[in-house]
Parts: sequence; structure tokens; C-alpha cells
Amino acid sequence: MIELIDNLSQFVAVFIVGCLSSILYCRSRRQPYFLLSCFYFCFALGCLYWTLYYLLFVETPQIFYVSETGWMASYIFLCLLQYSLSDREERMFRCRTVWLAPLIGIPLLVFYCTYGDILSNICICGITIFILWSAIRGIAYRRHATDTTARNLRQFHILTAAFIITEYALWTASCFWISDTLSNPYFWFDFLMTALLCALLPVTRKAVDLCDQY
Amino acid sequence: MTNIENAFICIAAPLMIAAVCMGKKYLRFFLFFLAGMGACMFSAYFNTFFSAIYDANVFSATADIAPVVEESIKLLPLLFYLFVFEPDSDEIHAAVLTIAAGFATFENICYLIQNGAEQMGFLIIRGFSTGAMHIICGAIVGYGLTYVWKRAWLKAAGTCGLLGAAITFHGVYNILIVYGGPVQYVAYVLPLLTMAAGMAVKKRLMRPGE
Repeated sequence: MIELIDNLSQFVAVFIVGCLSSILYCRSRRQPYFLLSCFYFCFALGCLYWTLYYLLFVETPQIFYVSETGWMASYIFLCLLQYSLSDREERMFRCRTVWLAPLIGIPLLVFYCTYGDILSNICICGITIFILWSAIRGIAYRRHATDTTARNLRQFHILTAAFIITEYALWTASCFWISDTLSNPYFWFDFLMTALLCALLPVTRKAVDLCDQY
Repeated sequence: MTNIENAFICIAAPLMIAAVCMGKKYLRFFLFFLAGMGACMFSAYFNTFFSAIYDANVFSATADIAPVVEESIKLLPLLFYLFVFEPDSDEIHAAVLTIAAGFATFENICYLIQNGAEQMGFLIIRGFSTGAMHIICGAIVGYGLTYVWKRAWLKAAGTCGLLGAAITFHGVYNILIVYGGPVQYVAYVLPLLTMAAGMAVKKRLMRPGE
């Protein structure tokens, strides 16, 4: 029951912020809002598929992971959003801290491969490592920033990194399934992720509104 | 057993003749329509192939395999058109929607061959909703592609993302359909509602001065 509530609440929350983000795009025609809407709607579709499958067939998808395709699409759009919010200098910025992303992601990828499908794990972990890489690079690039725009962009990168780390925590928790009750850390991380997803809209809005380049 | 290639030939032959007779102006429409029908036929082959490999039952084949296979194959003629002819935005819209319409038409024909055409009311609902679903999946890809193909850095990743969105939407529709009962009527309404919402957003975006 708690899993259903968790999935449904996540779908509803993400769908609502997706609609809000679309409204912002319709009003301003700014590219980051378009990418953010795509991110939210793909994520919401993945949630909806997963929830319906679980609700109607009382099991998770067994052959092709359609919901994971939706989530992967959402990660691609998040990646593109990061790219569109960064400038050329940031993209060229080099620092050793970014290696934290593969350092965290690759051992987890190996671990997840022992539990599930290798190809889908490689695709999903590959893209999340890339997102985490870009987020850490963005945080490092703007760590001494004083102006409001740069600080807002740093907040965006911090939130993105937090989102990916919560995803990793969620997947790891799902490998050690305890029970269908709230005592299962999986649900804590999933509720946290819903909150982070909702927070992404105002943070992106702050970053976009103060900057004219988009 | 359904010999869908025979059905394909029967439907494609008059369309091809009409395409030749009607001249160059309408040739593109017929070609895309036939490409959509062909994509549907190849999807059926691949669906059967994957179902056999994974030893899938009807539920899994419809809910898990079909959305991935159908949307991926439906994208191929469009990608060919985009890479070879580098068309304008309007041409992309027309192409993707015609391919989707061809796909939906041939899928309906296959459904009629397998299940008969007795229940008129049900077939009207199914025909419209399946058509709307394929058009929406086409529109997600088509309208998205016109946006992402303008920007070089968005092309590859954006196309994969849009394909993922279309697959998931198709998957949601198929899950509701395959469950049957009253739930399938939700599936029939879903694409029509989404289409109405999409048209409202399009109207809003097209409004001058916006």
C-alpha cells in the first residue's frame, strides 16, 4: 500500500510541477523551461507506467523496462538542461573534484549489474554519472561566486547533484528490500526525491529569470 | 495466423497506383503513409521475434515489448527523411503525422483481421483512440524534433529523449488496454484528452504576440 501511495504521490507531484513548468515556457518561451517540462513529463510518464503496472498486475515489468526508458529520457533532458544553463567557460572548466562522479557511480554500476539487467544499468548509470559530473563541475566552477545569478546557478547544480545521489541511495535501498512499510529506507529516499524534484522548478526559475542569455 | 504481408500488399497496391496517377505533388503523402504501414508490418515481425525470444505472454508482449519496438521502428523512416532530405519544420510535422496515421491504419486493419468487425460501436472508439495515440506519439517526436534539430548539440540526445517519451506514453496506453474491463476505456479517453490538451497548448503558442 505504501509503495502505491509513494508512486502515486510522486506522479502527481511531478505532473503538477511539469504543468507549471510548461506554463512558464508558454509565457516566456525560454529554452530551459522547455527542457525542464520535458524532464518532468518524461519522469511522470515513467512513474505512471510503473504505478499502473504494479497496480494492475501486482508485479514489476519483466522484459523491457518501458518505465526506465521514460526515466532515461528524463535524465537526458536534465542533462540537456544542465548544458543549456552552463556557459562555455563552465563547460571548459577542469578540476579534480569531478572525478568523484565516476568514483561513486562506477562501483555502484557494478553492484547494480549483479542484481539487474546489464545494458539498462549501464545506460542509466552512464547518464547519471555524466549528470553528476556536470553538477560537481558547476558547483566547483561557481564555488566563490558572489553575484546572485552565479549563486542561483550553483544552487541548481547542488540540487541536481542531490537528486542524483538520492537516486543512487534509492536504487541501493531497493537492492536490500526490507518490507512494504515506512520503516524501509527506500520510501524515505523516494519521498525525498519527490521533494527534490519539486524544488527543482523554483531553483531553475531563479537561475533562468535573472539571466538574459537563455 | 495472420498473413499481414498479404494484407499489406492488398492495401499498398491501390495506394501506389494512386500515388503514380496523382503526380509529384501528392507523392510524399503516399510514401509516408506507406512507410507508416510498412513500419507497422515490420513491428509485428519484431514483436513476434522478441516475444518468442523472451517467451513472453500476451500481457508482457503488449505492455513491455510492443511500445519499445513500435515506436523505435516508427521513428526510422522519419530519421531517414531528416538525414537525407533535411526538411523544414512544416515538412517534418506533415511527415511524422502521416507516418503515424499509416501505422495506426494498418494496425487497425490487423486488429480487424484478427478480431472481426462485428462490434461497430467498440471499433469506432478503438479506431479513434488508437489513431489518436499513434498521432500523439508521432506529435511528441515530430514537434520535439523540429525543436531539437535546430540546435546541433540537442540533436542526438534530444531525439533519444523524445523517443523515450513516446515509448512510455505508448506503454501506458497499452497497459490499460491489455488489462481490459472498464480500465481500457480510460485508455481510450487518455489519448483524446492528451490531444485536446496538446492542441490547446499549440493554439496558445501560435497566438500572435505571445
